[in-house]
Amino acid sequence: MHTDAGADSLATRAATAFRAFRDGDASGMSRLVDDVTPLLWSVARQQGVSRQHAEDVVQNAWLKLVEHAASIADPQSVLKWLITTTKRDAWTRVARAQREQPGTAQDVRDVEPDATAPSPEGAVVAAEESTLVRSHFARLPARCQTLLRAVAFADRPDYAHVAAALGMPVGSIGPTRGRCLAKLRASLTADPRWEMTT
Amino acid sequence: MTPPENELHLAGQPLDALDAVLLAEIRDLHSDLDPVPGDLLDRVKFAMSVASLEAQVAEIVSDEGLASVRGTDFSRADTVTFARDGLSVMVTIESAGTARVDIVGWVSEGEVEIELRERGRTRTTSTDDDGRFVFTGVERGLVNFVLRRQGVAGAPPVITPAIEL
Repeated sequence: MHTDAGADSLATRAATAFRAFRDGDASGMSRLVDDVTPLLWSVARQQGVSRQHAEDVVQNAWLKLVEHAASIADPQSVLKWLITTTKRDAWTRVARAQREQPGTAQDVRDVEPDATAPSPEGAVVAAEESTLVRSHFARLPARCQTLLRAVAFADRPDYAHVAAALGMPVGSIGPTRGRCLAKLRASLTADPRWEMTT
Repeated sequence: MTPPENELHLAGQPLDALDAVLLAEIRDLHSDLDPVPGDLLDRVKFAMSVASLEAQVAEIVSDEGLASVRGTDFSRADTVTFARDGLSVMVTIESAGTARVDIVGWVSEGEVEIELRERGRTRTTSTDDDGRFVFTGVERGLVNFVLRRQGVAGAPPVITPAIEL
């Protein structure tokens, strides 16, 4: 097993684009923003910030990358740096909001009841299988939801890297499935409706 | 609570095709329920450009056939004028087939280098004696310009918001 991510991984593409950017060629950064922003968006939202604040958090993470470009020693750690920065910023905002408004619900879904409701188009296309996955996913512990949602927006060689950036224990996901995916599979397998769709 | 034996066993196994299906499902459902806002990517890129260039941002002072250049409902620009601190640039877009356009522009002062930023690619030209510049065969899509005054030492570059060709 390789500890560093392979060629077809977000971490490596991030490193390549960042190295070029530091050498004065910013052309790869545009694609990197396209590739990595959905992952950062997931991380910010799972911390419980509103959509509007998540926009600020994600944009700030990229701006901080530009600002601190000279001080990032290892380009291979850029993806991790972006995830960590996003998570920390989002967390700080949530903590601040709670301090200012004691009693504010921590879970964003309590604040925005619509956040997990299917969009009109979503409701139409939602197949039975995805409805099942959604309901079992929603029953996972919050940390598992955060991990799985984040890795779902990364490439497979990045899983361990993303888990580490989120502060999850080594082996949370990677070459082996890890506890969170195992929980989801065990929970689905125990549901008789799941049998019907597979 | 001790997790069931089945779960521990599953956790130690390698990732398989069903895991890939489940993760794709998780990805799709979140893309549906809580999508990345449509204009966030462009706002991030523009903010990064300005920050990394330490540039001044030009404003769009007039546009013809251009309803909106920010946000998600981009319309096709024909002629756009940008200005910042006395430097103005007018850009005319001429169709060159279905997928490409030619760009002809005029800058209000001489000796300006113009960089055209397309998605994942940039090219550079300079104004001629009349302040005119041309980029041919530009792929349709979002672009913006960076202008650098050659005659003025230490002048910060001027960057234009993105326009949809």
